[in-house]
Amino acid sequence: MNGTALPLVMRTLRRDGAMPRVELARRLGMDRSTVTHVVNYLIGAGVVAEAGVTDASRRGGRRPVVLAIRDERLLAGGVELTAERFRAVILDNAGRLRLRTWGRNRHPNDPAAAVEAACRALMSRAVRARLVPFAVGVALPGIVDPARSLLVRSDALQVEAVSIIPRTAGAGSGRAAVPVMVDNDANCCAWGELHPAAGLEDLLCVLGRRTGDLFTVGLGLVAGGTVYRGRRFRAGEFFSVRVKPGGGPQFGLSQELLRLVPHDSSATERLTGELMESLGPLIGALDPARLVLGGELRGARDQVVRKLCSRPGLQVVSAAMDPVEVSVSRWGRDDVCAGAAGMVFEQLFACDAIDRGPLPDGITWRDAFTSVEAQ
Amino acid sequence: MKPGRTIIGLDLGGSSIKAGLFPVENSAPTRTLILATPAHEGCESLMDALIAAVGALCPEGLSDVAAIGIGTPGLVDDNGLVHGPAVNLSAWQGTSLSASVSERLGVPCVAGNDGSFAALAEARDRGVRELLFVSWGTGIGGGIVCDGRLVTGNRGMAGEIGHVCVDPSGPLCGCGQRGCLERFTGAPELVAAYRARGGTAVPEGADGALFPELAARHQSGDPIAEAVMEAAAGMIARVVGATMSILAPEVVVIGGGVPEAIPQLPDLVARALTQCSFPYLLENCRVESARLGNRAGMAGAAEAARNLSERRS
Repeated sequence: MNGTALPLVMRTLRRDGAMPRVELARRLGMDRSTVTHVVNYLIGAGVVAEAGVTDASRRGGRRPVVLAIRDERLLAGGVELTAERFRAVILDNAGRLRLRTWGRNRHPNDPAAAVEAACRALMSRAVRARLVPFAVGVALPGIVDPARSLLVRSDALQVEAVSIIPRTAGAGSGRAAVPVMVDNDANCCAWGELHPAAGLEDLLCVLGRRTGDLFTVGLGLVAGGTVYRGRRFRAGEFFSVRVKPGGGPQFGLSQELLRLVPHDSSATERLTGELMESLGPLIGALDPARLVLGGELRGARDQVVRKLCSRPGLQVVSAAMDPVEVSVSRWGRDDVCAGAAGMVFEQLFACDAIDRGPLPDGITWRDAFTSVEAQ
Repeated sequence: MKPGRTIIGLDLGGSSIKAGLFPVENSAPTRTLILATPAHEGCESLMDALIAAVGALCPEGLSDVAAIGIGTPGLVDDNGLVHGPAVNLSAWQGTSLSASVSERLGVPCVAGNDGSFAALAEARDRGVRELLFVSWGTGIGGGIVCDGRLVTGNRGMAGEIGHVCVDPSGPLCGCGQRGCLERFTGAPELVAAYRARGGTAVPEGADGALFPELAARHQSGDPIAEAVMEAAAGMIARVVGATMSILAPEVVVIGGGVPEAIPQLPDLVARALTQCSFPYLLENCRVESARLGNRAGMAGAAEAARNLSERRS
């Protein structure tokens, strides 16, 4: 089995849900024999199962058997790394959170070692719980190049040009190493809104972060159903309209005041005011369907909605149109690490062949089959 | 059936329809024509004019046409549905443009905002995948190309930077909001600003029609005209800078009638951007004049048709 039909079958089952072989063949415009061959392989690999029968056709006869992805067996890991700690999860293909762990970052000055340690801690728990992921996504604060597995620059971690391990060992028990994919933390927060197959096309994710006493905001943009990273992975930088960008603070408000967010309502009110004043042009220029708040901004939804509705001109679209929807990341405190796992699923389903993914030496369907076999 | 070897790009403007016949494999048109737009005669007349333009381009029939692209003012969603407000062509509102044309001609069709299509054409012409286009004329529009694809947004509004609010207490705009960028930087507003600052008396008449006079005065060194244009470039830069921070484009293209008349404007915008954009974003981004002039909408519509044809084959 080394064709391109397999990813198409998996993508269709994920997007459209369970269906019989004959329906798969019809939707994909493939021969039934090709679909049967692929499906038999997937059933043998343990990622697809026969999940009941449909009603008989009008002409009677045998009722077609319905095929479904075994969501509980397709597992991805996600890690959020900050200067102080890591937080990690295992998600399944249906978007269920299967395992959660966290710990202190014992390598605050060495992100490569910190990622390795966090991945090892997650894999160790995952193996014990028989929840081995096919890959681990890692969210890092800063400019990240996923194709080269490189942390280009991070002010929060105070490093430049750090290579991150492209594979992590399977907990030292003779298991195959699993791929590690890195991305920016705000991007990961946005990836989280796309999993599992949410059908969202355009959204803007606003992630509030705290590093020590420093409060910062990063943006993740989903355009046309995928996270957009920009030229040289520099998309998503935020600065307030009240400051001159580059080198200085992100906000006109003082860090003394920002330190009180989100617990002090007056400070949160002033922050959201400056934030929405600055995001107005972006909302106008990008026309997202939804504004998603993550991290330290999760508790500020009501203030953001009030600012959007109360200030004339901020909504920046025709008065006749519906306002942009404001929501809080549905993953709660796991918004970034669950998003990192979501990113891994999106990469898997973007593969166009069993052994070929969107990134060189990145995640492939082969990794998924190997991990399911290990369970 | 043999796949078509040509595509058609249509740019529907408030005063004219520009139509071009292109080979599928390259962006140089083999035939072009311009027809008057029946702007005030209702939707049916507009549709008839589009069909007539296609007929005039292909008198031998449409059997060799793989797809048609149509650029139009107004907000157009991914299904080709025109949402309000298309100020110049209000008859289109609520029309599923691509479906209607496709049904009448029996050829696959894609419709989009004219500024977005112009962005697509400028990106293809430069061979870049990340581009922000500003169309600066009577109104302000634009388009965004990310990773080689057009960003349309949730309601077809992406790239419409003319309706970004720059002053919540500013003048009322045709879109229903206050203080839109367009209300400060559109060609008629520039003439009004020149008058308000006490510029040398300009002839009486509609402010929009007098913009060439303002441009001529700017080019001859009139200090008030220069101050007006510098302030306008600063406002455009403010919105472009905010958008750049999240898109990190390779090129910002400043096109439209205003910079065509005052070619220094892209440089003025670039200079103003140094005050409102990250230095490292500017280091990796060029601010340039549009290359395709008023052909950009038509060429972009053809490009969108080409993409549609490739997706279907």
